[in-house]
Amino acid sequence: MLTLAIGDLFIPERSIDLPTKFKKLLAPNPNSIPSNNKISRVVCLGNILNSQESLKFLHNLSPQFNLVKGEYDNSTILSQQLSILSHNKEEIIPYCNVFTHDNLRIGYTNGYQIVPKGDPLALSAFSRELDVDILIWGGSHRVEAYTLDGKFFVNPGSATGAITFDWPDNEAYEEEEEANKETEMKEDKPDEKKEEKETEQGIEDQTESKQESSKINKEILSEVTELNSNIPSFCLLDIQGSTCILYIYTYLNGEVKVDKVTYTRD
Amino acid sequence: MALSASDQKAILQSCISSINHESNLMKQSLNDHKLLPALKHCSNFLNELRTNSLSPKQYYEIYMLIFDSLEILSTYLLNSHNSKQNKLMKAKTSEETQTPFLADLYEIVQYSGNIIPRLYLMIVIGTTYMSTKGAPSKELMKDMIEMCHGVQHPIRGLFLRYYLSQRIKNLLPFSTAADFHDTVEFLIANFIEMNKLWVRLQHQGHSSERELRYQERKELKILVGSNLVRLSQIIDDYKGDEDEHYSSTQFYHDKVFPTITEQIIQCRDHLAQSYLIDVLIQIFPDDFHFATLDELLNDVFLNLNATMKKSELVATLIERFISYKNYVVDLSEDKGKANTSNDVEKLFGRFWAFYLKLNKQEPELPAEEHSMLLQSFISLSLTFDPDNFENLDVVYKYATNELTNQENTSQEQEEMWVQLLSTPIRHFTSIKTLFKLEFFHEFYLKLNKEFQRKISLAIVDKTLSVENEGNIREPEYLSNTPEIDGIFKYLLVLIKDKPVKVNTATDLGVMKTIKINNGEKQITPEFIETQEKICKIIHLVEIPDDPLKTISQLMYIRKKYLNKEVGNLIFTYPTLISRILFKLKLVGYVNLEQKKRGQNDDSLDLLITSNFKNLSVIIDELYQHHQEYSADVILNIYLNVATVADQLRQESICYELFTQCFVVYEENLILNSHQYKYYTHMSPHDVLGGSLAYQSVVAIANVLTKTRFFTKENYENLITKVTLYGSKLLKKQDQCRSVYYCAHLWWWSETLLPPGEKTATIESSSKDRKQEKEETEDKQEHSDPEKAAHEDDEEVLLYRDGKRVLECLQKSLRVADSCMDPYLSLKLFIEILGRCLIFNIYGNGYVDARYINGLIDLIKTNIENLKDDEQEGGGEEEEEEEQEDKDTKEDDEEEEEEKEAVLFKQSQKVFERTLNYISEQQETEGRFEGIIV
Amino acid sequence: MSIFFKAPLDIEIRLDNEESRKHVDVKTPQGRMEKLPIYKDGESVKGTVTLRTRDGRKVEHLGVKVQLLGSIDTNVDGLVSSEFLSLATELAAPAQLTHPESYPFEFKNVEKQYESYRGKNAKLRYYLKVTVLRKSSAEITREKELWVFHYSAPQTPAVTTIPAAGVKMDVGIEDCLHIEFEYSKSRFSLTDVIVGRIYFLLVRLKIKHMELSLIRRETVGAPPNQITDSETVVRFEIMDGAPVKGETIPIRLFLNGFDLIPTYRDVNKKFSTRTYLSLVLIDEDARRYFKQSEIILYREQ
Repeated sequence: MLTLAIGDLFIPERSIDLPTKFKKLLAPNPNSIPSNNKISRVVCLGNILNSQESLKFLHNLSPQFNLVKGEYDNSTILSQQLSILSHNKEEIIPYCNVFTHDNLRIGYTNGYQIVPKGDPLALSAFSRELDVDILIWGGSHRVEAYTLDGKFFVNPGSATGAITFDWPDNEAYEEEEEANKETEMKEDKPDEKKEEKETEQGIEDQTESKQESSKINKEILSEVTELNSNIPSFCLLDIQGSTCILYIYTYLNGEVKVDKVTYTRD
Repeated sequence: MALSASDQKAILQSCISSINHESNLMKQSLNDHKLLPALKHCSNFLNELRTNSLSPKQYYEIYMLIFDSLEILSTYLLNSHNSKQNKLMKAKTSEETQTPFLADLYEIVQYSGNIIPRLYLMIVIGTTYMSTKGAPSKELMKDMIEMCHGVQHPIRGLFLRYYLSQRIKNLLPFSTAADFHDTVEFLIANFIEMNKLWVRLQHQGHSSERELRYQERKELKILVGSNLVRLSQIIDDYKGDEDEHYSSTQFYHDKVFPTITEQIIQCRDHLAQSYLIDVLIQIFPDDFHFATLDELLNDVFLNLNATMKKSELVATLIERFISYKNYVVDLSEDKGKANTSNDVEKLFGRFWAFYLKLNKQEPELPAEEHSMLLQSFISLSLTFDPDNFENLDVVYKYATNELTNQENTSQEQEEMWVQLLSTPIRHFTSIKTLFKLEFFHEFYLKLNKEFQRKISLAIVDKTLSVENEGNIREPEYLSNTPEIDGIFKYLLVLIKDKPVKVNTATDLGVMKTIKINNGEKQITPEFIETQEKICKIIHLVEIPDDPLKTISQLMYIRKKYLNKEVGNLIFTYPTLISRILFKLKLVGYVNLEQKKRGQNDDSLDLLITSNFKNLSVIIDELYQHHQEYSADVILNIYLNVATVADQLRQESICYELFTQCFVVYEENLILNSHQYKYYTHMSPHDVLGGSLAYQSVVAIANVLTKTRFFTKENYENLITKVTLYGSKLLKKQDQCRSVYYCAHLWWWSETLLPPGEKTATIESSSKDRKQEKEETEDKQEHSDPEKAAHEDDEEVLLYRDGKRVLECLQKSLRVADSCMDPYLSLKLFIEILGRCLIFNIYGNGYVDARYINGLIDLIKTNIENLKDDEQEGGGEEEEEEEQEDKDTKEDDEEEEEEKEAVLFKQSQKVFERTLNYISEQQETEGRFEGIIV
Repeated sequence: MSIFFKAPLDIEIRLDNEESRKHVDVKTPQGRMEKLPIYKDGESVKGTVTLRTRDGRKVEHLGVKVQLLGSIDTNVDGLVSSEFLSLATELAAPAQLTHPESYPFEFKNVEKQYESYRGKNAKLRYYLKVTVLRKSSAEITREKELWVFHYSAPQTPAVTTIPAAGVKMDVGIEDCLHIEFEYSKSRFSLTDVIVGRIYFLLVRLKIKHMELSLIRRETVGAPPNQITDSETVVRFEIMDGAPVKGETIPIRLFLNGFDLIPTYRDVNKKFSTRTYLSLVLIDEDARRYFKQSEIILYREQ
């Protein structure tokens, strides 16, 4: 059985919804409860932002739904929403939590109270505090998984690819620049189309926006937009004994991609 | 029929056994080739069909039995007929005068004194005869159908005629025009008679059994319809003989349609009319309906029984047309355009004319009917003429002017209008189509608020739906003012929604509600959902490739729509602000990039600045109305804006924003009277959590560590201030933690900036920087020369002030030490040790091995002391621990003690893990040299 | 039939071509069926009479004659028989018979005015009677019945007062029932079919079914001493269930299969047989409503 790590949905504040392909993948039987019979536990890293529908979606995926408070969650509302869904008494949404699966102890938290946010050493210290082998955290909207000091650190990213206001990932920026160069030839055509569209629109809104839009270089805009966008992602953990196989699902250009990372505790 | 059900059952059983008996006798006689006795037995079992005592269902049961027996007879007769004919052929007598055996038989059975057996026998023989070569089929047809008149009893007559139609259905001739006409006549005649009988059934028996009769008739309806089905097939199969001018459509129009519909009208029976109109529409091809549409609407529909729901009839017809259209469209994908489209385009007009007539004829038509009819018309128009919205506007205009003027429209009526408005919404692939309907909104405005909400929600759902006929699609953007207005004018009612309508359901707690604002306010889950949807719509306000325009449109919707209900701002503004901020971020980045490429544009700078200011105004508005309960949310918003402002090098704005953060903090967060229970339940030993004020300080600090473009002076002002806030928090653990976290503000660990960029904080005063460097170098001499060398290699310089870091750590140590609770002190010491290790790894020379060793010793001493304290409690403690494992503790005091013991043990474990970590790091990474574990 | 006195002579009457001649099955008063040869009006009656002595005895006779007789027996006030036809031929002069002797005879082109008939109170028969006269006045006779059919050509104009064309009738009970019925004609041959229709103009009765019956009525004697006997020959259901106003019900009745006789009127002023067509409606309370009308039946070749 699998554990789903998912978070930072930011619906509706920063995103309309999960990618439909993710929804179909996660909930193959949307009308039954649980809607996915392969997932035994859902670990949600928060920032659902009181979207009842999304909460219900996640809640109904598996028999067990574990939620921690995200930076932007209103936990008063969230815990009441959850109690309506689960028909249980209202419970306090914790900041972090720990569970054991086979030989591994797994902790999870949204991570916004870790200073500096997302700092590997700070996370490492926190994992010692919790005494876990695997620490799942969120908040950065960038999917990551690495081993440090014998422990496994997993950030499933944002399932909706919600925007952030943090600094863009400059390493990714560099990589993407390279990628852009490689694909430039292919992108010629779509670019032309875009321009056509623009001219059409230009005619419509000539009076209003001609001045403003002329100030912005479209090419730079698309680069900048790409740099500041996040890829929707979530992770599945398949834990057996002391080994965790992590499946990273990303959604890019309309396709779902899966990567695999294996961690074994020494 | 005053028979009880059990009586009927008994009668049925006796009928069945009698039939089986006689049927067996018949078979025996046939085996012995004794035809006349066989016919006698046959007649005997047919006599059972004369019964008056069975329900239609039971009658059907015996009918089926008899049907099968008669088939046996028929097969026998056919075989013996054929063998006789063959003998004749062989004998070559070929006497023309010799009447065929079956013809004789047909006459013989007519002596049968009772009409029911007589007619069944006639039919079985007559149809068998028809199936032979050279039989006078048409005479037989005419004779049988004529003689069937003799049975006027509804059920017996229906079954008899059904038998006729079943037997004859594949024998009907239609190869020549004359045959075809006769066959059509035959089928129509049988239909008419059956319908009469069927209608008459309603009036049988006592009036108290009316409902029962109705049900019985429903069960029998298929018998009547079967004639029309066959008729349709025959018309379809007939290819017009030699007549080149023959057109089946014309034939239907001239011959079939008038006769059938006249019958339907005249029977004035509700069930018959509704069933038969339905059958008529379903079984005949669409072309026929197009050809007879006007007649059907104006001559037939208007003349039906007044209780008939015209809307249902019209809906059936229109559905038929719609599926036809879809079918034609499917076909035309390879065949080109369908040829019927011309007169089809006028369809709407024809229906509309009918509608107006109907209104004149029945001025009291209920709202439901109007609504259903108009919905059908809308579907029709949308299917046949998807780009023409005049028709829809005609509908809505009419509805607006004619239908909603009545005062006191009832709840039900309004419900109907909601349905009417929902139809196109469901149908449109793009919600924008709605904007073309001028009267849609006018009509909408006539409804009461509750119903407006329903429509609005339907519009919102449609706008947001990502699936269209199974295909996943992207929601459409609203990219200009008319489109935005087009949607938002419907959203207004939702925007102004009150969280809870006070009614009995809420009073009694039946309705689910969610408490907010510290329990002072209640909202429903539905309300949250609605607000969520509004937010999603805000996401659709988007002008691709033009973030500035998008920002101005977002500002526009805020001013024109979103701020119409200030109580709800907290649900929608965060989304609005996020969207604006993100767009602004993009514009800013573009601006930076353009500058990098030498395309300076001062006006863009100005725009960015003014938009930051506009954004502040929006946040301020939110703050004005929601500071009491949502200050933390607003703080986060300010912090987000500040982050972006810093990234965009808008230092003064950024500084101003942090100042705003401090204002929010000081006004609402330091001493928040609404400390949510979620913040207060935490144990002081938990690393996460803490008071709202503490969390606010941490949040501010976390953002500040990532700012890069303050001047050093400004930066230090801010970080000092936030550290000061931390040190002034109420609780010791909050103070301690916020201060050691704030230590990070003096020691940046990551560059964050794009390659080649330099941070303004360090560049702003190079003097400071030099000093700084020297100072750090000084310290580094103390500790680790390798680290220092490493740092020199770094191209980008980070703001670091090791001394201040140490000061912070010292400060938190002091706070920890001042705790009254020794266990908490210990916990905090261990946490500080963890922090020290981080700074040590980051190369802060002030936090060296000596310092860390001192801290480790301190912790060890503390642990020993606490152990000693516990020893005083003696072995009891251990026992308790064991007991604790078994969860048997009851006494409060003991529990308290026990808790402490648990916490103490936990702290010791954390400490152990930390020490392990140090030694591991020493082994594998070569770190922490000189630290004694 | 047992004969106490066994006659010394056997008389046998044989008709020419008797085997190939058509016969008719007639019920005797005793209920047995007998087969009788059929003769037409004007047809010659030809045959042979054979006399045989019994046990080789000698029989003297005073002469032998054969008669063709036609008689009507009525039973109004006691049995009365009257002859309307009597033809005789001498077959032999007085002589002594020792061995069988045959005598051919022929009545040429005999006019047979009436049809044979066996009714309840009236009987019309034709028979051959052979008489052997003897001294002792003990005549020996032998009879043989013939059956006479009258065939009338269908095209011959009506002999009756009822018009040959269609019959239409309009009957009813006030405010209850009003029907119109129609038969294609009023004269039918015995192999004919009665075809017609009934049209319901008003129906307020709860009709259960409707039947058509043929009633034969025999009238014997003259008033006041008249006896009438009615017999329903055919009963035929033509409608099941209750029709509504405007409904038309077809009538078709094949006559061939029934035991019907032509209409006889005042046969020799002794008796008549008529056939009536009766339409009967039966309502749910088993009340019967009927309308009779006479039809003329005739025998067709």
